[in-house]
Amino acid sequence: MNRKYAFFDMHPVVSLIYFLCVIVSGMFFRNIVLELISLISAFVYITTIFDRGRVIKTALFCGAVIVLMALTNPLFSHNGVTPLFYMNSMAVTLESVYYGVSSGIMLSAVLVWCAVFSDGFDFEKISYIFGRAFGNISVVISVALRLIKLIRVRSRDLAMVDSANGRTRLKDMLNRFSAIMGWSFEQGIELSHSMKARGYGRGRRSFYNRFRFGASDAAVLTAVVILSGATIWMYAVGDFGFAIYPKVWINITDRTYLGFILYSVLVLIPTAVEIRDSILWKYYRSGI
Amino acid sequence: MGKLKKSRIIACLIAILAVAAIVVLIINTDFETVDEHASNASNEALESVTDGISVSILINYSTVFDNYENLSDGVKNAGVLRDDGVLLDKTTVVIEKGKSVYDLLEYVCRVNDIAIEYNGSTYVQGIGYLYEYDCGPISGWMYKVNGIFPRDACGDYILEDGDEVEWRYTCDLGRDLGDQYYNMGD
Repeated sequence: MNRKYAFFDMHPVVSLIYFLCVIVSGMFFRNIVLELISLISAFVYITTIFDRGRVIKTALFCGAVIVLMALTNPLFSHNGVTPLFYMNSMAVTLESVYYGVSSGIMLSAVLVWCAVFSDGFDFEKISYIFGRAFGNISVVISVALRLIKLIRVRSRDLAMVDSANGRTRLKDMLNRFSAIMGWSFEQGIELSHSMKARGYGRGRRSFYNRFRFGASDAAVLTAVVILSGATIWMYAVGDFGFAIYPKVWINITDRTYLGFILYSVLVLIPTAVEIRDSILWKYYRSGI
Repeated sequence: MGKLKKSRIIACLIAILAVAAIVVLIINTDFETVDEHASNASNEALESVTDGISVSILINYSTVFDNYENLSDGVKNAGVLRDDGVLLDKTTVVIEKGKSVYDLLEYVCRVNDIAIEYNGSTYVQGIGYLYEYDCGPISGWMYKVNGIFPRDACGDYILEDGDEVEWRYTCDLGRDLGDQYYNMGD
């Protein structure tokens, strides 16, 4: 079994709240240690759920983001007390390179978490959470998203047919485009007829779902709320004080190390769930 | 096959153009090491201007000490602020005719080794590591000429002989410096 996603087999509310906490805190916690904790934990987690090639691809992408930010930030920001050299009499400073690296780490950590979230949090879960409140909107979104994918697949198919027949001019592309439009409209009419025939719009929609809020969901949710509440409070109080401009400064109080540990625990929760799940899997399988 | 060749030629052309653009950019950029920058600045200080005008300038951020709790952690802990808030005492300099307030600021900052950063043409973001928004959301640098706050960008204000320029840091949209312009809406 390649894709396990044990964390996403928990109740959708738990994973939604968890990823909201991790992504939002990743965006707003400007502290190099917290950013590194977030990025490293995201990579530890994706090694348990992605295959090796995708992990390497993600790592290369993150490295490129960090290098790009480190190179471009000094071109636009000249603050900092350590000039390296001057460009058109504006200082290119060490601090602005640090700031670019820090922004790159933050950005890539958030992107990795978003990739994990969009991979594991499928439409079934979105419609479970939002369907009751915004039933029509979630149906419209699902139809629209499907249409995008459908148009892409169909245009690829038509392009293959056309290129096999030697029709590769711009005019042929326009013909293909109008064919796809017609096809999609027809499909839309069929869809609406089909929905009507099945009684869409008559009375309240009912939902089938397979999600049950169990004891482990409650435990993880409590842990997430307590840990993120504690770290957000510590951030607001200033225990994670950090500044790069004009000089690198990091605030270390008595509670800061505790805060780093709490945040590490928070971002390692999915990995822990994944490892617990694979241990249980091995344990149960050996008993069969 | 001919099509493939054509697209390859186009790709090569685009690559050559991109490289040429980068080379032109680099050639037109003036690179200086830290030492060169300092020696160029001190040489410039020695040059005398003939047929110039005499103007005075001062740079002061004493207002941040009245709003010290709003000051950003970075500036507070970097140890770059001077206790009296005087970055540059009133100095008289002789510069060429037709220079703007911005030119004057840039000149004295280069000569006195004060870091400045500006945005676009002439919006001054920071002087001496103290930047806009460093002391609350409506803080930043403003300038006064002969006691009044002009409504022009500092690059558009052309100096005249005897002008007295003051660069001051505000923490309250100019109101703490006595500028009532932004009170009109209240």
